[in-house]
Amino acid sequence: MPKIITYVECDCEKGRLKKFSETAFEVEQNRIFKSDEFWQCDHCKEIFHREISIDTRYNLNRPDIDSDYFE
Amino acid sequence: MPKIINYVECDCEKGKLTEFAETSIYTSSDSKGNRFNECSEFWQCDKCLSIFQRDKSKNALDDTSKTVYQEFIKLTFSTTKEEIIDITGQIFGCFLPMHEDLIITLRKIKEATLRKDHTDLSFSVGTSLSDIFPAANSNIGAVKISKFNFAWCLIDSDIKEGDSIIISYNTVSIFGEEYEYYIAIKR
Repeated sequence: MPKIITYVECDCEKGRLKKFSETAFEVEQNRIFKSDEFWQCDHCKEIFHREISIDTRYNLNRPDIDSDYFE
Repeated sequence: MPKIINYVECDCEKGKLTEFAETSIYTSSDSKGNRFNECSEFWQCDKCLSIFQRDKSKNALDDTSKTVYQEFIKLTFSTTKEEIIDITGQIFGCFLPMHEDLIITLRKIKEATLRKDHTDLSFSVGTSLSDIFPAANSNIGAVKISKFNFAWCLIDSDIKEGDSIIISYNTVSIFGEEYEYYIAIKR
């Protein structure tokens, strides 16, 4: 049966990014949990970084990820 | 910058599915009296041209509820009447216009059809819409080809009730691969 495919395309447009590492969560002011993710392209091997934050003040489990934003 | 790519991969594992039609939204209720807004989507593979259908539903009373998608169901070219009635149910005839790109594709296939030798099966469009699904002015539908069997096929937009049409079974070569399909053309 058909399946939904989701992946992150590298800006070289030839490879896909895979997450290979992430830091432990750090608690910042206002009880915002933050961590860093590191992703690598399986074609050009370029490495990207992005941040995730969870605002625990509102008891939301959904991470605040700017999905298009990689550095 | 990297971007998130989403698509639906066909089970032929070579093509991507694109939604080309959907029914209007209708309301149903379960045994507990909960009401749901439902509709059906129709998707086609850009490689093997298989057609799939899936239902989606959402709680009619709760704007924040998540849309629930059912699994894709593959629609075969020779589907029984009972299966088609089950699939289309109370909602047949409510198709939205097909995506323009697909219509262009279908027109190209139709031109290929008319140039090919094929085995024809003639029949007349019945006086009742029960003989043709979803509606005579749709570009794609199921047409009765025997007592119990319907064929999913492309339908000329100018076909109407009472017309005599030909259902032809054909194969067409697309990018070097052979595909089978039915088409309904006016006699």
